[in-house]
Amino acid sequence: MKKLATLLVIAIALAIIGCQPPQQQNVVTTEQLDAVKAEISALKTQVTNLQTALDSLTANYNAHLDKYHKSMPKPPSGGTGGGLKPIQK
Amino acid sequence: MRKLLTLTAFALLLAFVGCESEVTLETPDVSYTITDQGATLALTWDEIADADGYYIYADGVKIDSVTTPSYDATTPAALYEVSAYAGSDESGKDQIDCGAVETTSLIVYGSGDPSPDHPSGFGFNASGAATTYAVSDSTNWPYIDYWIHSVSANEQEFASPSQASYNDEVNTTKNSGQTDYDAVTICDAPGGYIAPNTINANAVYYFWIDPDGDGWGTNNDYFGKIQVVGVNGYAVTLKLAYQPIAGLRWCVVE
Repeated sequence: MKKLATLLVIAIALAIIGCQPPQQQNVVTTEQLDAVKAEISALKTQVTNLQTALDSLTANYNAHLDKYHKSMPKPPSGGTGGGLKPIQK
Repeated sequence: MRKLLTLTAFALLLAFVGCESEVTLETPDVSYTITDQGATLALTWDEIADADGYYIYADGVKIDSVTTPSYDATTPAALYEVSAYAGSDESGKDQIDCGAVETTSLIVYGSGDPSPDHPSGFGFNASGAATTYAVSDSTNWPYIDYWIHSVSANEQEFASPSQASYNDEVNTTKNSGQTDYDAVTICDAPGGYIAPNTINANAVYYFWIDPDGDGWGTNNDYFGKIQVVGVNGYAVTLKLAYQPIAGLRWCVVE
């Protein structure tokens, strides 16, 4: 009788545990999904704009380098000597 | 009858004298070109009605008169003026300012000077005043007309910015052989201008800024004089005069 009672208790306990509803899972609604999609789309546009701006900046920087610094050797500011190629006019 | 004739003659004489109108001479509107490789300021103006001729003044002193509306000024001065005259009447004077702009003291340092606060470059701004520039800052490079190159701690030389690729200007100097700054009134014609050029204390140098390196011209060539007031190691103290009229070699300070 005692065994039967124990088995019954175990069975009830298992039934209780088994009947527990599954844990609430994170559910994404359609609205949230659409919002994320829109955000991603906006970010993509921003990246494209940044890329365009970066290309423009790079082009300007290269033009500046060409104009003022291309092939310019390090100026002889830190020492003496070093003969200069003479100019006569 | 005789009295009547005398009176009539007298009346006519008075009428003629009274009717003589006063001559008002307009002031000539003078323009100029630079000729003779920068030695001559060629002045021209439109003829002035009723003028017998024109007076030429240099630095306030009447130096010549002409009867045609042009004059080749070959005497260096800081100011030329032209007026029209008729008999004893004289018009106002039109002025051509041809004086050099002076920078009384500028200290620049040889490129070997270790101090970052000691600039080695200098250049002239739009008004003709000289300014120093640190050559270590590349944003200054476009404005550098000359820089001081150190051969050693005790030997400095004027150098062209093109010689360090600061910019493309081919600017040179020439030792005038004089030490009297005021006595130097005109730079030598092209020929014998060099870079680098050893800096000697007290010497007066002509300078020739030739951005295009294409020889003398009136487009963007400028001349002037530099006196080396003193040299102390790397430090070079200069007194400079810059002629703002392109191509003109005069360097009389206004």
